[in-house]
Amino acid sequence: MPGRKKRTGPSAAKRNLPLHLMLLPGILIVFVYNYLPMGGLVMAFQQYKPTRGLLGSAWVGLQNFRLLLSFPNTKQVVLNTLIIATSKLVLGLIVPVVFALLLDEIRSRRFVRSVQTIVYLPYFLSWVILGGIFFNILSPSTGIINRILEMVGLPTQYFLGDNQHFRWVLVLTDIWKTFGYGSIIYLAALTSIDSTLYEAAAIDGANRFRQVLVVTLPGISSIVFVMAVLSLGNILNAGFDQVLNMYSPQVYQTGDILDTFIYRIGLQQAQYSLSTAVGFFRSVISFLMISISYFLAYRYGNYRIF
Amino acid sequence: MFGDNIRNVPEGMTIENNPWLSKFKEYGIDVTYKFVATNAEDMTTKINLAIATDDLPDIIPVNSTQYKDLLEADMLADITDAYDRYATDEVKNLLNQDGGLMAENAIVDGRRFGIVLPTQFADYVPVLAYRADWLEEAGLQPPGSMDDIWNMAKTFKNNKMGGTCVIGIGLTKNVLDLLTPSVGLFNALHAYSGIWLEKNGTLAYSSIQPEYRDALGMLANYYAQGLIDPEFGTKDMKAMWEDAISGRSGVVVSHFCAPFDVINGVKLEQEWAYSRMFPTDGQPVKAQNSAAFSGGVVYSAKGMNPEAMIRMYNLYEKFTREDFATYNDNAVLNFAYPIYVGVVDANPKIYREYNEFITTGTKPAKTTQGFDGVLEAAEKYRLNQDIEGGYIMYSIFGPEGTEAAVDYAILNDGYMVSAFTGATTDNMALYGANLKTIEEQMVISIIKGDQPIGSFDTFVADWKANGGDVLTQEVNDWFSKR
Amino acid sequence: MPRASGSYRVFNIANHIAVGALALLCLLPLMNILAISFSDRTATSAGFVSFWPVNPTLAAYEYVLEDKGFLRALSISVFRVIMGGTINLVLTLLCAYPLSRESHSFRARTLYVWFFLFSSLFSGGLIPTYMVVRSTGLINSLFALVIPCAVPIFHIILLMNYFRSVPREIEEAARIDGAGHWKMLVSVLTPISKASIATVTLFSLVNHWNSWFDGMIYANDVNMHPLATFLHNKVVQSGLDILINTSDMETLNRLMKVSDQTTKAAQIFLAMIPILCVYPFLQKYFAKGIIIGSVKG
Repeated sequence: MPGRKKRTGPSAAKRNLPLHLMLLPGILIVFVYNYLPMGGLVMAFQQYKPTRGLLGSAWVGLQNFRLLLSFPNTKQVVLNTLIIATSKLVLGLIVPVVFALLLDEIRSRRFVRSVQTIVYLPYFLSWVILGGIFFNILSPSTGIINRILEMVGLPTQYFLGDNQHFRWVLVLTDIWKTFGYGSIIYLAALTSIDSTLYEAAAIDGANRFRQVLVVTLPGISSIVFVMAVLSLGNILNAGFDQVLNMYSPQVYQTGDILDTFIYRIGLQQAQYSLSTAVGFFRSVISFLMISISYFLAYRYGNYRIF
Repeated sequence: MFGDNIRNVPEGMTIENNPWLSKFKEYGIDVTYKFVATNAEDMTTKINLAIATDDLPDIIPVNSTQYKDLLEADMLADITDAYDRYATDEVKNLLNQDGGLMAENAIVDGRRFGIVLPTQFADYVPVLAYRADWLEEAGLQPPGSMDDIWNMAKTFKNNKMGGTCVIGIGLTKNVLDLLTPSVGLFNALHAYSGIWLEKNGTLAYSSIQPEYRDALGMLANYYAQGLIDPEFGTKDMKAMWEDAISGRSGVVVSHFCAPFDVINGVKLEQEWAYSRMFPTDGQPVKAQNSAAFSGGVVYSAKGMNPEAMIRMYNLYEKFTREDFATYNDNAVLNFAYPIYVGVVDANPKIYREYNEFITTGTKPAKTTQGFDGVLEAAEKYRLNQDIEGGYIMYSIFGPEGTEAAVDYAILNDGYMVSAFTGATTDNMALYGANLKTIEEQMVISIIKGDQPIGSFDTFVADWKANGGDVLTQEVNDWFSKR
Repeated sequence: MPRASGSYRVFNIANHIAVGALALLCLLPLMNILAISFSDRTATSAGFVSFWPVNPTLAAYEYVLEDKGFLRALSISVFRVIMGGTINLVLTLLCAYPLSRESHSFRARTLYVWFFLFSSLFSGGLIPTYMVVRSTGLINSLFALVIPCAVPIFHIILLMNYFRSVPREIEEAARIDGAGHWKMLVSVLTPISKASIATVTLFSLVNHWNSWFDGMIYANDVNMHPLATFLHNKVVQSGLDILINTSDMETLNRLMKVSDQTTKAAQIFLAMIPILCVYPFLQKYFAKGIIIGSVKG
């Protein structure tokens, strides 16, 4: 564990007692509802059947993982998942920050408030509904986007049915849905920047753009950093609901992801072991990514996220 | 019990208080529900959770996997004696409406371990719906062959009928699913997807047969001629019907429920007609069906009174027959779940009864459950052209309705039922999804011309290598033991 | 504020336009849903409705509001959001404060942080979780919707980071005034962290409002479903599912009507209203500058 050892003495233990007490309820709940069920991770190494239970199901070692790897599409599916998830991570970080910064430049309170409320709306629409709406908007023959392309003399595109475009459609529509909601956290962080800092910068002759660079960005950098590291936990999470509602066999090649793949396997019969194996794999990768970035940040940036 | 079916129940009835529970109680059977699921998928999950937590109710509705697992784990009661001793002949008839095809799944070494519900598939034949007004305008005759159908689609599209028609025939993205237009077209071309065919005493998978290859070649040809919607790869049923109702297409390969969608077009003053699908040759079109284990009801090995379950079936049968009005109301009927056995092929029976009524002017002496409701609605349209009140029922059960196609199929050997009627095996569950994916991609890319027809042979090899051979072996083992 | 330069003025105008356009882009789909909910079924099924109702009617709304299930589910959701939001908030504050202490004075904190973080990355899956929830007696209880998810790890990490960024002088001053840990949390940090607390509270409320899966799994009775579960069941049901489950005409007819697009649209819109009202209310805590100003004042 990082953190220097220091002699704290018995009085420290006494002083810290309230801190332990504060944590107690949270620790208990997490232990019961998160740690106890983790025993179920053994399913990844079993051929689990509800009738036999966790203790009675046959042990199969790494067979579930081997089985997953033996499917001809697995490699492509993992690759798709990584590409889609990573694109979403990167844009999902940049867009809300930029949007928050732009909104912060607007002085009219009423305008800012209305915009904030509006951009937060799409977050509440489920992909079942949005899938249908985007299908209409993006249709080559009737969709509005292609009508616009036609008007400016560009060739029409089959956005949802073309492997060249499909991943982009997934990433951009996802960003569209979440950027407003995602920017709330940065808007909140912006409010905590000490306004005297701007005045000081202005006196030093910094123009508005420079003030953003020297005051605003450093002011929210820590929260951006935290969000970046936490989002690494989603490195293999490409968005099940969205993909399920927007993909079709025609774009499996670029759009089929781990979760939809497992979902289709489980449709005929619940595949508890296979999905646990995938979940376990995903958790290990997420944990590694987060841990590595944590230690790197600490080591080289002397910055502690957690 | 399914929650969605009990929301609109008669005033005052609840899950705890309804005619069925009172009736069961009157006969000394005190029934309480362990849980109520929202839909079939939720029911499966809840039963699995109940199994995992060893908290099963006595009477359990199961799917085929659950049935098999419970049986293997000795968690099912042997109900042979209870069934033999208590089940009335009427109940036995009801449960064997399919000739005992499904019931045999419940019997292991001569002992009975549950009720497996009879399969029904008569309704599931492809039905063609087309714009009758456009047909007349274009000076065409109603279709009588496969070529006529494509010619009609071609004429509609080339003449841009209604100023809006730009699509010949629409398909949907899930090209292999039951009741989709693509499967309807395959069947009309004597090709079948994803079922097991008996060939020379062994079972063979339908999707790797030469007929399937030929059918795909023909569809690819129609696609190349521009007669199949180029955007079908992303459309679902809703989108396909949207094209039809908005006038972008005038020929739809559908099924007996087509009027539920067509009614919207009729309200926009379109005229639609229905017909059966026609083959390319003289051979009858056979509608494929997997005749799968659709559901069963079992009794927990921990329960004490398996005869109570059988007696509930007796009461169910007796009172739905004798006190039709009280117990056969749809909302009330749902309270009997999972004790519920649908009348197999009710719709084709009602079709015949209604047409007898139209020709003779009198109600047949014996009618099938549901007939009265159909009669009341359909007559509203037949006599008064009341679209909202009766178009749907009349267009399903009327003389030229969708059930006419079903009736034709019943009379003309119009079904291709999968020769495998057992419960889903572990390997089927495991390899099935992946094999289906490979097949879907192959079908779409061949129809769209992205891949030449020759790639079908690559698919066959892939299919065999990725679990297909294993399944073939398994299914044939089952077949030889039978 | 400094005097705006010419180029800044140009930027300012462009910025207004860009932000306004983005907002419009977010509004359009909702307008579409709204228009469908007020339109006639026939027009909707032909895809004729875009942003304005065709043959306007209130039929869909009448149908939805007649359904006792909808209102019951709504009331359960309101309960869940209030109860769950409160529990989340209290536990977030209680956990974030100790974890925001320096590790040299509170050595166990590092262990605690990883304990929480690890729990948020690994999950035992549906069946084991259900077994635990069941053995703690929560099945068929509304508490199953708020207790197992009572500790929002992500929110704790956010708030912890915020607490750590509070200027050290503020805490020092309070400590000199004799404030212990409880007092520090309740009377010093909480009041100056309003914006962050409002943010995590909003996240909690929204999470509770949107969750549907636990509502379905942990209830043995459909009358205990929160609105999200209720809607999910309605919205995902496709015509074909209905058809394959039943070919009995009366049931078909009824279910087809329920799963109709206009009805779905009306339900979606009605379900959004309550949670949308929460945001403007919390927005007032986002007002710029009040925090530091109030402390220094």
